[in-house]
Amino acid sequence: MSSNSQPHRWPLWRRVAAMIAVFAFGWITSTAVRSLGGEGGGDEPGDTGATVPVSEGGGGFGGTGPAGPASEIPGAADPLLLGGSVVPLDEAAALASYPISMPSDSLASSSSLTQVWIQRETGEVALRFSTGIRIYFAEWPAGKDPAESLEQQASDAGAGWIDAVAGHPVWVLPMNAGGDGFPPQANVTLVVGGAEVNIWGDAPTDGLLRVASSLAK
Amino acid sequence: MRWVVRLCVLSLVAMAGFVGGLTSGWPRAAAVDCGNFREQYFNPGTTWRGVKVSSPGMRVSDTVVDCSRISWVFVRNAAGTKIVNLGWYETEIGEFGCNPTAGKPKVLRIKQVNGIGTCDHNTHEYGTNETPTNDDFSIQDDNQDGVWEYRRNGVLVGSYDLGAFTNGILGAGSARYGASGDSMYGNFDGLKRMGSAGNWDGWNSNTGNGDDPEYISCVHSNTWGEVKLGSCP
Repeated sequence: MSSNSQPHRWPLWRRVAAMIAVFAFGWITSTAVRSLGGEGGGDEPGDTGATVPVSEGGGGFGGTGPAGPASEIPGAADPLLLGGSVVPLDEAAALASYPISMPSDSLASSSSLTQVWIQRETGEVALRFSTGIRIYFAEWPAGKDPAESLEQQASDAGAGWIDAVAGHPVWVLPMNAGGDGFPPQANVTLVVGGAEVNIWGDAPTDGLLRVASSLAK
Repeated sequence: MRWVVRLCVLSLVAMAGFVGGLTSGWPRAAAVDCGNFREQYFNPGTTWRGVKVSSPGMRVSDTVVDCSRISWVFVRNAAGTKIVNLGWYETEIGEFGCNPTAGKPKVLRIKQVNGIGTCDHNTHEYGTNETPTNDDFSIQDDNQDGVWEYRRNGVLVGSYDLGAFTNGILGAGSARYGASGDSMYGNFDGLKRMGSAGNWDGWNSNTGNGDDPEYISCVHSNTWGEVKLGSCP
């Protein structure tokens, strides 16, 4: 008789299940709130409406991620300098504020030179060779210590090492030294004749150092 | 009375679930195909010693991200081998050599040299009450020594040596991963460039561009660009 006077009680498992269900309800509710608040946000006008694709082949302008310019290897038809133009070597030499050294190596020489680019505003010059080697020149700041700067840059990047050719310090970066695709090709950097010289190519670093050595002589 | 107690217990349990959901990690990144890196940007067309957005500045937002979203100003060389960027970002996946953020936007200070990106991990993380807001961001090499100084709201937040890189092509823009569904909204009002005398002047031209399939770059004026969905006014 007494059992009939007791209020009905759920078994333990059912009470636990109910608690879990209520907890889950709260969790899901908060998730929905976050989603609404996060995506709407009040500062993001225009969440709906027609989309207008905009793409003029900027080539990852400003990007530093996978589509960033230095993570892409320019094809044979791609410009070497944004905003630049192709000119004869002697014209580039006349316009540049530094001597444009010509390498003499099987990987890069005057006989394998295919294009000379100049960007008049930045003063950069680039050489393209039939072997796929690319050499970029830029005026080195007056009074700046190349060894100190290259060591600092290598330290900041945490990749590559400092070598030397013909008495010039060289920052050597093997392909993928900073992770898969970074850089996408090996490159070496040195300072010669008042210009920073950056040599890229699908070649072992030994080959690029040989090109650098022929420039630095 | 017993039902009141039960109701209170159930409310507390539901509240615990609610709070748990709010404070937990957002387990979505792994299920999302982040797709290709996409960006929309503005540039003034010529080369300068620095870039700045101020008064009112760059919009900093706080949204839930599946992959990444970024707004920044930047300067790059013509070769594309050297870039300096400053702005803010949120990322679930980590990138640019930067660690994933913890649910709030963080100042993004990076540079790229010869294909290697370097991220400053010790940047400011925005708090709950700091967004949305407009912050000033600038990057400059006023003394032409190849060392670029980064400033947020006028305060120096760091510098990087980039060798011979002393002036370049400026820009401001937003980026994300194309298929992620993350917002790419960006607002850059008060765009300036540093001239050869070390003076800041407003951009004297402005072009919008980019490769995102949905967002567009709206040029409101030479000194104001907005990355948004929809159409430009």
